[in-house]
Amino acid sequence: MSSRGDQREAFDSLRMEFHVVIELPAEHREAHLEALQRTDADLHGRLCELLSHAMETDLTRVPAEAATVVFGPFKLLHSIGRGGMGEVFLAERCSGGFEQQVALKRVRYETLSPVLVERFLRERQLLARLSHPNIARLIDGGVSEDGQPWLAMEFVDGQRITDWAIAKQLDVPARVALLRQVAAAVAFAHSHLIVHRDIKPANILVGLDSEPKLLDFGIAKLLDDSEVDATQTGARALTVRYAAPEQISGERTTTATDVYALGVLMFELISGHSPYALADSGRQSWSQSALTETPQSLSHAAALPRARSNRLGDLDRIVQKALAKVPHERYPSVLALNDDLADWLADRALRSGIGGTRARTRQLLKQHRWALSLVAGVMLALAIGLLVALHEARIAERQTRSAQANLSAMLGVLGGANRRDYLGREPAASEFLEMAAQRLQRDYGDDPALIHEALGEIAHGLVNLGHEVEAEPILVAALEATERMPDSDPNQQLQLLKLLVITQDVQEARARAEASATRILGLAAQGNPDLVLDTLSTAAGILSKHGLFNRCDELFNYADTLLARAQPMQPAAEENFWRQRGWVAWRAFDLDSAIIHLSRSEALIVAHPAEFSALRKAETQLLLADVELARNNPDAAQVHLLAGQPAFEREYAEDHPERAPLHVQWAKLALLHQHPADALREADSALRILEKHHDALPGDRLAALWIRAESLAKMDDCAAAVLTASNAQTDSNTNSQMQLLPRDLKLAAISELAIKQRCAPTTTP
Amino acid sequence: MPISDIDVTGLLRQWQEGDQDSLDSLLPHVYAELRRIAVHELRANQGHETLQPTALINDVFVRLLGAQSLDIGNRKHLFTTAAKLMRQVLIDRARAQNREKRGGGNWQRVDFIEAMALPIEQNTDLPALDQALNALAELAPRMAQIVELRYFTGVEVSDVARLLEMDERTVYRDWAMARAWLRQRLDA
Repeated sequence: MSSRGDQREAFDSLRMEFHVVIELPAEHREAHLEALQRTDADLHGRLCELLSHAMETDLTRVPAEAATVVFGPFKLLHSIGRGGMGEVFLAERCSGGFEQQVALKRVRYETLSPVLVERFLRERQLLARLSHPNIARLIDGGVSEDGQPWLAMEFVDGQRITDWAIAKQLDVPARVALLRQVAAAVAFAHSHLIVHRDIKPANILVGLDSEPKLLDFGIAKLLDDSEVDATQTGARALTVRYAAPEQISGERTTTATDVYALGVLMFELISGHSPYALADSGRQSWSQSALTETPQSLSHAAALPRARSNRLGDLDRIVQKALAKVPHERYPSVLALNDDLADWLADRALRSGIGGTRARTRQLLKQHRWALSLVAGVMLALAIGLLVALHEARIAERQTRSAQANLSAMLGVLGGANRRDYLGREPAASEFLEMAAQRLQRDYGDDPALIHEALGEIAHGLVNLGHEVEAEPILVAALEATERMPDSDPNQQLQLLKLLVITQDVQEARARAEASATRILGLAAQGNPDLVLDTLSTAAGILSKHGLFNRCDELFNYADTLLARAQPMQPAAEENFWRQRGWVAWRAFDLDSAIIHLSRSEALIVAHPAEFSALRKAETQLLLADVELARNNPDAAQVHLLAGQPAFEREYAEDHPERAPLHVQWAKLALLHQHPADALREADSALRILEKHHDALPGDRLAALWIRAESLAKMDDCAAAVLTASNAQTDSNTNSQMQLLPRDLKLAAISELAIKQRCAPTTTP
Repeated sequence: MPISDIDVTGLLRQWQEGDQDSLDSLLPHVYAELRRIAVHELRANQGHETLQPTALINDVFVRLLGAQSLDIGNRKHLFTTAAKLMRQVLIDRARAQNREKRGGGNWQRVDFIEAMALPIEQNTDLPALDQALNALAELAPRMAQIVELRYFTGVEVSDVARLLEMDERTVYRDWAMARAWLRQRLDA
């Protein structure tokens, strides 16, 4: 008996020879064995004995279970794995005159009826047409003579996608990009009405070219549909870990099933963990988790540094949407999922709209640049202001909710502003705001506090955009909301009323403006004095435009009593009060009062220059110039005019309607200086500007017309003067937008007098 | 003893720190746990699936280890030990059945093991296989290890190669030879 060492040595030689022989092609084996017999007869004997016990399949590089080694044109080489559906072999084409290696899957079914064979083969044809660079092609398939169904697929020599990502140390964006390729392939298959139904890392291999390839496309469906053998269906092992809830409960599987599996894949690819912590740690089964467990947070599972968490938040939203338990709550398609992934990679907001607010804002601002050119300041200011508010730690929860709702409503509207809704035209900013208001009232109608705040913001935006008419009903709704609030704050109502009365400066809103003023007076005793004074003067300003000077007096009388009692006001608030009062006096053609009020405004500006913007300072100067012109003080008027002009010229383009009043004033000044030709030129400039802006500043247009008429009269062009005057008359009679105020009437009277003086003898009817 | 009552964490820590015996103390409980999960999965899915033994073992250990991942050394140890355990369990059962059947030599796969799709041929005389494997281990311990992993935990050839850090093709040839050698011995 030989020693154990000898036995080992003999075994090692045997092993070495076995390894050599098994690698040899069958036709060369005989020659090799003959040669061995000549050199080592003992070893040859033992090897032959061993080979006689080796399985046929091993000798043809096929493991034990394979009885058949040839399937269609393919010959099995060796096993490359075992899946739920059966064993997979590397096989090569042994006919047809060209070499081709394939992955051949022997499907684990015993027998097929002729009908099912036909169906299996028909389905196979459909799959074979699925040609995509990231899908391993189904090359052939059939049923062997002994009834064994088989499928030959493109052989992919690669690593599982998850292993590959780890081996290549891919960062998160690279993993997302990789996943996008997979998803694109899945979407392609879906467009060919083929669902994968078994997407998992083992079915996605990445080859040397770094391209992921999906294996087994449609195989699951193919097999199920063939219903190969009712008693054998259990043989196909579903990979529970990646199975969607509807697969587990045996319901219909659709493209949504693949969306779900892509979600699981994405989660694992990025975090290295399953979305189901309970199942992952073995505390419950995979199927139970898929049905009931809420997926954990991706950012948590991935344990990535905090700095990245913002971006991960959106990724988390994507994966959670894909993993929704109910199919219709997932992405409607793999394409939609892929769109969001693309947006995430490009650092845009997610197209599905599920992204975080910050990113969404950024995205929407980018996407709707055309809209924002109109929305510009307002929307940006609102959105940014709200975002700031959101991040203000001290903000009350209610306010936060309001800001969020407001922002999301607006962003929702902006986001919904696609080509379909606005085909062929650019929506105005006001449309966005109005839609946002509608959406808010629809979605949050039961929360008056939120409605009040959000609608207030939107109305403010509309007013700033000059859309007072649209803002008015929104403000009314906001006011109604405040009345429904249990702890209604008079200051909140006053603020809304202030905006409301501003919207009521059109002729037809005269009665409503009066009603608003009444409401303001009713609340005045309860409000904050600064706000009350501000609201009173604003309301008086509007009432004066309607010519309701008695009501203005009523408001100012109340203001005077308040001023006598109240603490000193903020300079800006106080200046506004006096300026508004100056406007009212000027409209009433009460020139002495106007000068007194406006001087107080001017004094405040001089004392607190930093508190006022250049344009606001200029407004007072131009107003003073107007009053001085009316008082026949050309020198004083010129000083104010020159002081106010630069800010207007800086702020407004040459043909901006706001530039028209400057021309009107220079024209008036020229008339006072007895330079009618200059006056005519300036008046014509004003009219040219206003011609382009129909609705703007009807009062200025009228003033320009009267001055033109007066200038023409003073230049003795009486025919033209009379014609212009009659135009002005028609204008003031027909323009429903404006109320003729004492100031306007006075101007008209002066002009008509001049015409009468210069042109009476030659006037023709 | 339910697994919650034993000091899993302590044993695992000792094992991770190099105390190989602690895994052995743990394995009976691991087996119980495997069984519990397997039965649960089978019931939940009404027998409509095949349990992947590798995945099951992984599940159990992931559960035991929590979020920690196993390094390759520990993975190898885990799977080789689990294979030994499964081998022991299967052979003990086969022996018990044989005794009950008074000499009937056919092994019938039972309960969850039945569902585990282990690549052991039907009608294998497990106690004889056990002895043959012992003999093989004397001659070529690594070859025996490959068989153990393939047969008793169902680890695929490619995974065996990864676990044992061997060339996959070599594993495949060793696997083919080992089976021929075992057959030869069992046929004798």
